Amino acid sequence: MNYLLGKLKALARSRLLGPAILLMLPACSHAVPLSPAITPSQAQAQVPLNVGVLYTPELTEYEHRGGKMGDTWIFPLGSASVELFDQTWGQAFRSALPVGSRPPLASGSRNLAAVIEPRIEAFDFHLPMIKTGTYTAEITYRFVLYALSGDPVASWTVTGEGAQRGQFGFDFSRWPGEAADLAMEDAAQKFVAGLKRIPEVRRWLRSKGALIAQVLPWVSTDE
Amino acid sequence: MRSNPLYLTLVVSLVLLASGCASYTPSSAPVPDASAIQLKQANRGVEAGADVYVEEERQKAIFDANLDEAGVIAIQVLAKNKTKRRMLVRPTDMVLTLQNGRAISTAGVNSVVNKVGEDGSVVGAALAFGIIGMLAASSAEEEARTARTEDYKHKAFKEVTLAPGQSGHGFVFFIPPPGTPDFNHATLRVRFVDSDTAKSRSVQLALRDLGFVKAEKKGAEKTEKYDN
Repeated sequence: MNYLLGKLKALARSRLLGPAILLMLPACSHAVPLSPAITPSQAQAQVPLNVGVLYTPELTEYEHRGGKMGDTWIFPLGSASVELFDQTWGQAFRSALPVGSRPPLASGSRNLAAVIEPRIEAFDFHLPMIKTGTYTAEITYRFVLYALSGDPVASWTVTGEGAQRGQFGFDFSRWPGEAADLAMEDAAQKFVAGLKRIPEVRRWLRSKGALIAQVLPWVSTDE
Repeated sequence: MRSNPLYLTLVVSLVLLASGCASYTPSSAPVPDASAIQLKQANRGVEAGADVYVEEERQKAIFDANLDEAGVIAIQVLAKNKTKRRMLVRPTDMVLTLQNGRAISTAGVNSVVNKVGEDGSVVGAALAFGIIGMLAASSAEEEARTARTEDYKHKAFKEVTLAPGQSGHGFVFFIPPPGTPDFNHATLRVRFVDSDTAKSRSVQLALRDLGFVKAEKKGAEKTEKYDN
């Protein structure tokens, strides 16, 4: 008896009690619905340049599978990110056209000033123990900006955070999904707001500004 | 009897005592003085220093957690600008490179909190004290988690533009991904970017005695310890 009690105490001390109990329950797999959307911002001036956008298969097919509370949670972050970025580029640049590869590009790139490639660098989420608690998520994107020659001009990361309070009900995936949506949206807004503060991007803009000023003298990219 | 506030108070107090870990005191330790950092390197007018929090006592004093057990490496970083130009230092530019060439990026504070957080106490409270216990423990867990997150954010190295003569410091966290082999040495790169010209320079710091043991192995060791 004492032996069993000791074992139980050791299990509790090791914080394995919760997971041990959860392991006894049947494990489920949850496909988390995602639908992030960026709010149009009036405050940020667009970069007056056209860019190409490269969505690699690593991004578009990116899925995060995380085990929490004995279940598997599947976040289709790649497709959701593409959906979000398609709304975001218009706030950041004059125009954005999809391209199929990293530069140098074969043809049709004459009007482009650069190519930008978003990547998902990290994602994590937290589930509360009861459904009315707070669900949180954090995502880090890396953006790589390439000159048309193919040389990387800038590479930087943006991290977004999301927190969403849940509600009682039978829907298990909604609240983690909403927390992830908020994290992605936060990252997209930070991308737009911070783009022109990245020194490497500013240098690139200056170089392009000088070029534009020769052709279109009324366009200014002064900070 | 069961609706008696005294009974509720008693249950909540018992739950909090029993769960124990669902509390966090962010004011327990401020960010340590970075000028005491021993390991420093300079490169063309910029200087970086690093202090790896390997010891469990130091981890518990600053983070109220055993980061090593959670598979998190915490490093206090000092960045000094001795040039005449403004220099940007971003924690996301800091990279830990292992001897096998594998590069690990910094982890976000929420990810760190997820690793070391308060999980685990609520199930025990539910078993012991039923639904009231679970609600109380869950609420306490959430409060502790929020406090921990805010405190870690406060102590983290934040993106900073250093004016000439200025310095910045704070903690950066690395979470080696699953499958990372054990390692003892690594190199930390701290990058400084000229705010105006975007030219960068980096400082490499050779870190010793990290003693990183992969999480899977730690779990096994721990189980063995409790078996004995």
